[in-house]
Amino acid sequence: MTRPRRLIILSGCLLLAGGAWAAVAWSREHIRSVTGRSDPSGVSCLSCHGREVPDFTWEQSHPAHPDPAGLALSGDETRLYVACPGTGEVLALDCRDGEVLARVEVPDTPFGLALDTEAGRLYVTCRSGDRVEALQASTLQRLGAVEVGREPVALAVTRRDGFTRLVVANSRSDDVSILGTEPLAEITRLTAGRGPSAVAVTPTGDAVVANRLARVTDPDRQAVSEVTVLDPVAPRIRSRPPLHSAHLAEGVALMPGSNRALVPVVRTRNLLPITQVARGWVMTSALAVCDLRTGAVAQVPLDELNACYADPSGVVVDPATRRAFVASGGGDAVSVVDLDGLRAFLAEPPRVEGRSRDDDLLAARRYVVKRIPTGANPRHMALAPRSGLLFVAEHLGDAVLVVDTRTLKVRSRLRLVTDAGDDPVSRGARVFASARFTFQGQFSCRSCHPEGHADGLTYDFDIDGPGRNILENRSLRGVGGTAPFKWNGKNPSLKVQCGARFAKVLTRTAPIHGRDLDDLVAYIRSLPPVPPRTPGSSAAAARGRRLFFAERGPDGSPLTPRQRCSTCHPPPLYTNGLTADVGTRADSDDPRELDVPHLLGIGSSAPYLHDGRARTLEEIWTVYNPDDLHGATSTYSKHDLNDLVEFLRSL
Amino acid sequence: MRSPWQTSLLLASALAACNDTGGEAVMTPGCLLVTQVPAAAEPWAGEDPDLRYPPGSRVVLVASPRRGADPVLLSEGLAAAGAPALAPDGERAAFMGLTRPEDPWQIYLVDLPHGRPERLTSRPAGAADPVFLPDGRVVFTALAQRGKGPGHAPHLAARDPGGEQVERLTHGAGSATSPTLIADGRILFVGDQPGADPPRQALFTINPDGTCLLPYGAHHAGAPRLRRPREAPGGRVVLLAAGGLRAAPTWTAVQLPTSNPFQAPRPLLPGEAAHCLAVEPTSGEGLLMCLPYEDTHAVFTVDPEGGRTLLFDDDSRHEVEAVRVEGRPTPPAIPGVIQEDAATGLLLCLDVKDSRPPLPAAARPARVRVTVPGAEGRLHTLGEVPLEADGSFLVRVPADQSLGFELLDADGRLLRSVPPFLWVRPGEIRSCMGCHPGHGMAPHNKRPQAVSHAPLTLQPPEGGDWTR
Repeated sequence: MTRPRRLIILSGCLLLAGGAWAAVAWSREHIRSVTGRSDPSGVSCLSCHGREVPDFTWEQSHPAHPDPAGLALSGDETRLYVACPGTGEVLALDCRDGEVLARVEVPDTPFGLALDTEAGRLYVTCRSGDRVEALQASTLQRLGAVEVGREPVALAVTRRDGFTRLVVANSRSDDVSILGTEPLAEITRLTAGRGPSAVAVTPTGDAVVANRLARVTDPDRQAVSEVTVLDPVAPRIRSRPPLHSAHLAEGVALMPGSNRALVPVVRTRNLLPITQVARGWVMTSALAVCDLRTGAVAQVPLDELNACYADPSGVVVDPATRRAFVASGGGDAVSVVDLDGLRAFLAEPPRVEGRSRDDDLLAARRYVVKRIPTGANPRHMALAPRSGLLFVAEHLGDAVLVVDTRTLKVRSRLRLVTDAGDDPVSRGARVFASARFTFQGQFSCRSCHPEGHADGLTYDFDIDGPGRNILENRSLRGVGGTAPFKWNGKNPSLKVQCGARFAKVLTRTAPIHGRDLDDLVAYIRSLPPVPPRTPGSSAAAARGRRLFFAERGPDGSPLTPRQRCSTCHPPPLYTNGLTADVGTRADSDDPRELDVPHLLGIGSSAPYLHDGRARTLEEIWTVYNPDDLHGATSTYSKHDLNDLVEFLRSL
Repeated sequence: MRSPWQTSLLLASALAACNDTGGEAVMTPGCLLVTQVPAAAEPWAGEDPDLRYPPGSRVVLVASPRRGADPVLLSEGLAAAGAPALAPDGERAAFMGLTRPEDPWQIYLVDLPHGRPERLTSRPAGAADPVFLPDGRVVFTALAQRGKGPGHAPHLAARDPGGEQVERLTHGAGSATSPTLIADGRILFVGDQPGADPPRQALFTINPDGTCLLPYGAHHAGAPRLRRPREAPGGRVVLLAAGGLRAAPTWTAVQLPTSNPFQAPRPLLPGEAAHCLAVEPTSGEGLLMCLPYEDTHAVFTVDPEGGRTLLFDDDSRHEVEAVRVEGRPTPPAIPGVIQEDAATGLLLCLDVKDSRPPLPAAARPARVRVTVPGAEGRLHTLGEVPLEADGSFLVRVPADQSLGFELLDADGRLLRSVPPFLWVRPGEIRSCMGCHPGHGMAPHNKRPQAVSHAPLTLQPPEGGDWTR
C-alpha cells in the first residue's frame, strides 16, 4: 500500500473516530439538556424519538352496555326504574316481566336514582355532568335540572317540618348538596367524608351518608373513613362516626326499630406486610353498625374463614323479614343477614378474649343466613316489601336479578339488552371487578382501585422483604400509554404488570392469563383520567401553567432542564416515561430511581409521592423537597406554589 | 338374601360405559374407582397401609351399575393396592401399591380406562395416599421408616411425573398424612397437634410448594385420630374420625362446616355408629360412602338428609374406597414462592402477646428462643431474638427445619412454649399473628415495629445451654 493511501485511510479513521466522539458527546449533552439527567444510561434516542405521541387510549370507542346502577321502585311496586350509565338512559320496567314501559335519554352518565312518590318525581344524578335531573315518574319526561357538586352518584328524598329536601352525594368533590325541590335548586353544600357514595334517610328525616375513601393520613396510621350524619333542613352536620381501618363504603341502610345504620365496608390491613392472603391478611368484607345517637360503631365480618365475599356494595333492609341484603360486587353474591341474629351477636362479649369481634372470621355464620349467587358485579338494590321481592342490579351483567325475599330464591332475571355483544373492554371490566382471580376470592382489582382510581392507601408488598419499599397505590385512570409501569418503572407493559408476577406478589392464586389478561389490559387502557378538580381557565391556573413550563425561576435565574417541571412531566400525558430521583427515597427504599408518574387527574390522587408521605400537592414541595431535587421550588413564594397547585389540579 | 334387583345391581360392575367410548373419554357418569379388599380380611380404615390394604387388595374401575360389565383391574401385577385418586383431566389415576407384601408401598400411575400401572416413586420407606395437583405433580404421604425418632415422622412430598425429583413439602416434627386438594388450591392434610398430650391430630393446610402452613380445623374434635379429609359441596369438610387409641378403633364419618371448622365435628349419619371406611364427595350434593352391607362393605351414595342408596357391592370383597370418575373444577394453581438458592426464610410475628390463654398481666416478654428437635426427644436451641416494644419480631431462620418457640422474659423465665412444628421454606416470608392467637381471627391492621429494620439473625442463648 502506498504511503499517501495509508495517510488517507488513517485520516479517514481519525475523522470517523472524531465524528463518533463528537456525536456521543453531543447526544449526551442533548440527553442532559432534554431530560435533565446527569447520567444518560437507560435513555436512548428511541426513548423520545422512537416514541410516538401516545394516543389517549381511553378515547377509543367500544360498545356501550347499560351497566345498570341505581334502582328505584314505584310506590305501588309495579314499576322498577333503572339508571343505565353506560347507555345514558333511564328505564321504567314492568316489575313482573321486565318489559320496558318507558325510557328516556339522560346525558352524562345517569347513576343514582331517588323517587319522590308524593310528588311523582324521579330524580337522577348525572355523574359526569355534575347535576341532578328531575323526571316525571309516570312518563319519564324531563322536568328540570340543577348543578350540584362533582360526580354525584347517589341521592335520597327526605321530608321534615313541611320541607322536602334532596340530599346528593357528590363523590368527587367530597361534599353533599342539599337541594330544595320547589323549585329544584341547591340550598347549600356540606362537607362530607372522602368520596360520599350512598345516602339513606332516617325516620326523623336526617340523612346518613356513606363515604368511600379514608381520610388522607400518615402512611403508618390506620385508614379511617366516616359516616356523615346530617340534618338536611337546618342544614348542618350532626356527627361523623369514624370507621377505623375501614373504607370503600358504597351503601347505607337503616336498621328497623333502632337508631342504627348499616354500612358495608372493606376492612383493610394495608399496614401489614402482604406475606399471605389467607385469613384476611390483606382485607376482609364487613358490615359496620353505626349507632347514630352515640356515634359508636361496631364492625362485623361478612367474610368467613374460608370463603370471602369481596367488595360489599349496596345494602337494603327488609323490615318484614328482619333481614338485610348486602351485595358483594366482587363475589357475585348477595349475603342475607338476619338482623335478630346480628343484634344477639352484638350483645355478646367477643368470642376471643382480648380481641374485638371486628376480626372474628368465625362470626358471620351467626348472622349470615344465606349467600345468593348473582350475575356479574351486583351493586345497587331495591326492595319491594309488600311484593316480597328484591331487585339486584347486576352492574356488569346488564340485568336485574329478582329474588324472593321470603324463600331467598331467585325468581327471575330481567335482561336489559339482548345484543350488547361481548367486547374486550366489557369483558375486562368483569375481570377487573371479579374477586375470582384472588385467593379465596378475597378481593378484586377494584378493591384497591375503586372505579379504576386509587384507594389512597399505601401497601407493603413482601417481595422486597417486610417493611421495604412501602408504596402508595397508584391510580389506573389514564395510565394507557404511560409505560413503563410500577413505581420502579420495571414493568414495560400492562400485560406484564397484571400477569404472573402479580399473582405471586399479591393475588396468591392462579394468575390472570390468556384472554382474561388481554381483556383486563383493554379495560384498563379504556379508563379515562379522573376529570380535573378545577377549571384550567382561572387566572391562578394560568399563572401556574407559566411556572410549570418556565425556563427561568420566579427570581429570573435560568432553570436547568432538570429543574423544570415540564422536563420530566411533558404534555400531553405529563410524563416522559423515564425514571428519576427527586430526593424522596426513604431508608427503607431500594437505591433506585422511581417512575415518573403522569399528572392527569393528579388533583384527585392524594396522597402523593411514591410512599404517600405527602398528604397534599403543596406538601410535595413545602415539606419533601428540601434540596430542590423535585423542581427548584425553594425560590417560589407561597402564591407561586398555590398557582402551581391550581394548574396541576386543572390537569 | 338379596333381591333380584340387588343381585343385578351387585353384578353390574360393567365397564361397558367406559369401553363404549373407545378409551377416549373415561368421564362416563357413573364410573367408579374402587378399592376392593378380600372379604376374609378385617376391613380397616386406620393409618397403617398394611392393615388397610392386605394382600389381595386391588383397585378397579367399574362402570355404572346400570350398565353391566366386568370391572377393569387397574392394579394388575400388584400384590395389594388402594387409595385411588383421579387426575384433573380424568385420563389417569394414581394409587398406592406394592409388588410383594414385604416391599414398601409406592405410588403408581395408570392410564384410564385400562392401562398398566407404572411406578412413580421409589421410596425406601414407602409412599401412600396420592393426590394430583393442578400443575401435574403428585403429592403423597412419604411413610416413615419404622423405629426412627423425631424428624422421621410421615410427611408430605411431591413428585413431578416427568422428573426425578421428589420435593419434601412438610417439615414439622409431627406426622403429616392424608393429603387432599381443596378448592382454593391448598393441600389439606392431617397433622399432629403440637404439644397435645395425649397426642391428637387436627387438620392443616399448606400451599402446593409447602409454604404457608395454617391450622385448618378439627382442633377440638372429640376424636384424636383423623383420616381422609375431603372438601365436599355444601360448605363442609368430611372425614373419618376415630375415638380412641386402641388398636382397632371404629372410624366414623364426620363433617365440619368450612365456616367454622374448629368446632366439634358432627356425624354424617346421625344416631349411627357406622363403621365407615371412606367418604368421598361427588360433584353433586351426595357423598360416596363405604359402609357395612350384609357380610361385607359396599359403596353407597348418601344424600344430604342422610338417605343412602346402595351403589355397588361385590359380595366376595369389601369395597373400602370409591371415587367417582367425573369432571370437577380444577382448583387454581397457587404460584410458588420458593427461592431455590436460599437456605433460609423469614419469620415475622406480629405480637407475641396475642396469645391464648392471655399472658399473665405481670408477664413482660422480652425475647423468643427458637428451638429445633434434638436427639432423644430433647430440644436444641438455634438461638434467641429480642422482641420489639409492640411484641413483634422478624428473624431469619434456617429453611425446611421444624421450629419451636419459647417466650422468655428479661430474666429468662419461660412464659410460653410451643414445641417444634412450624417451618419456613427457602425464601419464604412466614407470618404469625402471635404465640397462640384465637382460631379464626384476622390480624390487627398495625405496622409491626419489627419491619422497620432488617431481619434479625438468631443470637446464641444466654447461658450457652444449647441442648435441653
